[in-house]
Amino acid sequence: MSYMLQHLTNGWQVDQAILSEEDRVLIIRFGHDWDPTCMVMDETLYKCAEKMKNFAVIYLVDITEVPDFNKMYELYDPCTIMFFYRNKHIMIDLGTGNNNKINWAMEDVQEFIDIVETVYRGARKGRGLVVSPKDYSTKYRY
Amino acid sequence: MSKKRVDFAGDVENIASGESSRRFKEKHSLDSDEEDEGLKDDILDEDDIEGQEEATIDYDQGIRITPFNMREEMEEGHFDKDGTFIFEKDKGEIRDGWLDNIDWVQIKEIDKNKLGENEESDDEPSTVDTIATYKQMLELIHPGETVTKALQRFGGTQRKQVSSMDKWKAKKQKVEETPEEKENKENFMKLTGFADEILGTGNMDIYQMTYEKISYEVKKSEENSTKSRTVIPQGTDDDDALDMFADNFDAREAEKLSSAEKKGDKDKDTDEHRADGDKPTGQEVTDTKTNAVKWEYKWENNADAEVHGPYDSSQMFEWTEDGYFPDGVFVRKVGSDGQFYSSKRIDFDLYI
Repeated sequence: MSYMLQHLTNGWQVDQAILSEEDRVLIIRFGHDWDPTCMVMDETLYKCAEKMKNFAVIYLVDITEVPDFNKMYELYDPCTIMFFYRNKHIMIDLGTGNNNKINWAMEDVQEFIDIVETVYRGARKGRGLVVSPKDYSTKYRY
Repeated sequence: MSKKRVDFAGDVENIASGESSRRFKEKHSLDSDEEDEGLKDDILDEDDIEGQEEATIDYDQGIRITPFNMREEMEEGHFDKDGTFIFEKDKGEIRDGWLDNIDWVQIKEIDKNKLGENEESDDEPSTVDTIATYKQMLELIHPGETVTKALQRFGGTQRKQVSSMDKWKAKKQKVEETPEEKENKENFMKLTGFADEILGTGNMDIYQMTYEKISYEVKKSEENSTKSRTVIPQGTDDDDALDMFADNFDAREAEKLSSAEKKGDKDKDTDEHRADGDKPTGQEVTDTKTNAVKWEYKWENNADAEVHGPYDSSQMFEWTEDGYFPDGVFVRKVGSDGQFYSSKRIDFDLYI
């Protein structure tokens, strides 16, 4: 496949990615390529990428290589997914209590696509917080 | 230019000193006990400031020399007896002559009258038939578009001229507007007018409303009105009552029929638009495609539960809004073959 997930290797690139994407949702996976949780997530992202290319773009960021955002976004989990639209962080009500990010690995491709689509539609209508189709409160606990 | 008569209230200091000197010469009166006049007694006389010197030279090799005295300061205010400098605010104020000539009593009366008129005229548009306006707007908006988008579409042709150079050239050549452009411009003005009317009634979201949402509003109000119409004649057995309503009833029935026909036409229209919409450039294709999301639902999240649908997003939105699914149903996008989600967590508004 021609679709590989792109890495951003410094803070400037991340900033530019967030700033320059005009009409797609920006999905950033913060973590480490060698982390098992991230591996699962990356696999899902990889499968989604082609299907979502019309409304979402995915980047990977190594939080050791690029520690600039760790404090600001509180990136303490092995794997964190965050959504941005037009330089704005879009929050998702996942039912987990943390609306800022997905901090577990998702395995179901369609499920993830549904979330991203909701984010995209919500963000385009000017919402800063969208509700994910599925409630993750029972399945994943802190 | 009109010549302003500028008055500086320059004599305040003189008046103050004049008053104080006069008071001490004359006998004390009741007036002199008044507090604000007493304040003026607090003014520190310039002669009481010790150590002042007369000005010697104004400039020394281009550098301004400020004389060692308080005269300049005294022009802008005064010291009280404790040595606090009090700036006289209203001293340098410029007064406009025309202001003095205004008869404020008269103006206030006029204002009242005008306000009354305004209030009345403000009330009128709010009672204006919003539904009729909505209907007119629907003729201008394509399905899946918000009012803003439609406006962009109508205004879009003008944006092709990017540089100011081009604009200037176009102006110079006085390029004739193509009939299409002209129509777009007219539609643009019309739509803006309608949206403004709606905005005037207090609906601030009008620019964000989609075609489907507006048509939903229209449909809702039509349903409401037909309900209220049909109830009376059906519930009455009395001949008189029937006679009374008979003429109206027929007329209304006919009206209802014609409106239904119109609705049918509109539906045809939307289908045509959808078919058209598949042709043009990239983004629009995805827009119209993604906007045409259909849903299927089942009441229970079992594999063998009966699946209903497909229904479009506005229909689902309507149902959830009307409370048909109090406990939520399990919905899925047609064609996604994914799992069913609880309708409680789905915002159908996003898909309209």
